[in-house]
Amino acid sequence: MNPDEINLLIVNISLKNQKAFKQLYDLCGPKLYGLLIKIIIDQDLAADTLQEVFTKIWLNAEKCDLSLGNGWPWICQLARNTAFDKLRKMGKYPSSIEEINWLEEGESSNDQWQSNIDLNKCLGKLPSKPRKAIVLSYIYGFSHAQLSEKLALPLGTLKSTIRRAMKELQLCLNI
Amino acid sequence: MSKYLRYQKKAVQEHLAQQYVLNHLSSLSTRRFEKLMYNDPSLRRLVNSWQENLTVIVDVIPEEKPPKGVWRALAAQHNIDLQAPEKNKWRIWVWPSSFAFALSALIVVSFELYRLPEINTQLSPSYIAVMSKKDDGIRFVINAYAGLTPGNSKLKIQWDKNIVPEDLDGLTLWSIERETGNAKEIDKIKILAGHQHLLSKQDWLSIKGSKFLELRRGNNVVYKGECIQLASWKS
Repeated sequence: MNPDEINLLIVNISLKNQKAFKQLYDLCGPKLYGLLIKIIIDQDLAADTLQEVFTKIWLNAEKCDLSLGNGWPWICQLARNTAFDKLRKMGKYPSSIEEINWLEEGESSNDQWQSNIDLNKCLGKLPSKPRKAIVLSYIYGFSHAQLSEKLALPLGTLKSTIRRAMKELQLCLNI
Repeated sequence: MSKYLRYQKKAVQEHLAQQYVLNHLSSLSTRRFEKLMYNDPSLRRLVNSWQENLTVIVDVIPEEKPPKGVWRALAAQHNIDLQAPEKNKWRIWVWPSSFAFALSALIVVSFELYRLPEINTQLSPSYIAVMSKKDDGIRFVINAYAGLTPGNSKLKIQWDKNIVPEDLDGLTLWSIERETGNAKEIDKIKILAGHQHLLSKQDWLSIKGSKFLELRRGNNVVYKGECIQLASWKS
């Protein structure tokens, strides 16, 4: 994703430019739909959620403060929050870690994970469970209690594990 | 310690930002945190930084083509009609004047204007700067529109039709403060070009308090114009 292109489109959408909105949909829609399918699994529901996400973009583009960061992370956060809210209302989540085997496939794929060398290098330094906890939290929005159950770690241990892992990521990424 | 002072501790902010990005805050905590973020740009910057880095995880996920019905539904919901002709496409004729500070009232220059969309700003610009270069005359007009609500101030830049895209390469807009003469960078012209740029509060205050605006390429001032407040002018 070209960040400058997305940023320009968001600025134009804040001015209710319809062409820019269609361009953003064409540019980001497939990636967001892929993300939503991973989170929600049901494709019809994911399609409804995608419509909801782009409606929020259309109505709230001016709230994206590009002076503090790029627009694509803002869009991803919007999409994730919308999907998590939907799942919470329906009480649905992936039922087991085994259903999330794409995560392992992604980790072993040279092309995708190497696209951001910094994060891949830093995530790669973490032990498996903390890394899984971070990625599963980010993609699926698992709560501490759910992660504790999925990863078979006591709740207190899980929380401190994530906290330490994020601290290591922070140092590694120089945030 | 006051609960508000606690939230200003760097370690607490860092922890909360991480929890927020990982969706580990409860609904109530999330709403409270978002309120804190709204009032604290440094907190927003911290969250953005984590979001920016972790968003890379999304890049691993393969794309899926959305059903055609999604776009049709969006277009119907928001009355989007990409086939409709552009409205409000019009020309303004501007003639140069020999007095820079009076140009805002008299100048008419031939520009190709883009359709003016609905915007949440005053209809007339609050500030205007006519940018010229020695021996080259007027080439740009910069209009600054005050927002009807905070955070909605916008910038509009127009340029002479003889300007080619290469002329915009490397140009950055700067403001020169009226009181101190200090220069402050605003943004690259290519980001601002042809569109109404959403100004941050700092950038709006820079425009408001400026004596001049400059277009620079590196350290060289290429175009310069006095920034004139129109809001106080009578009509």
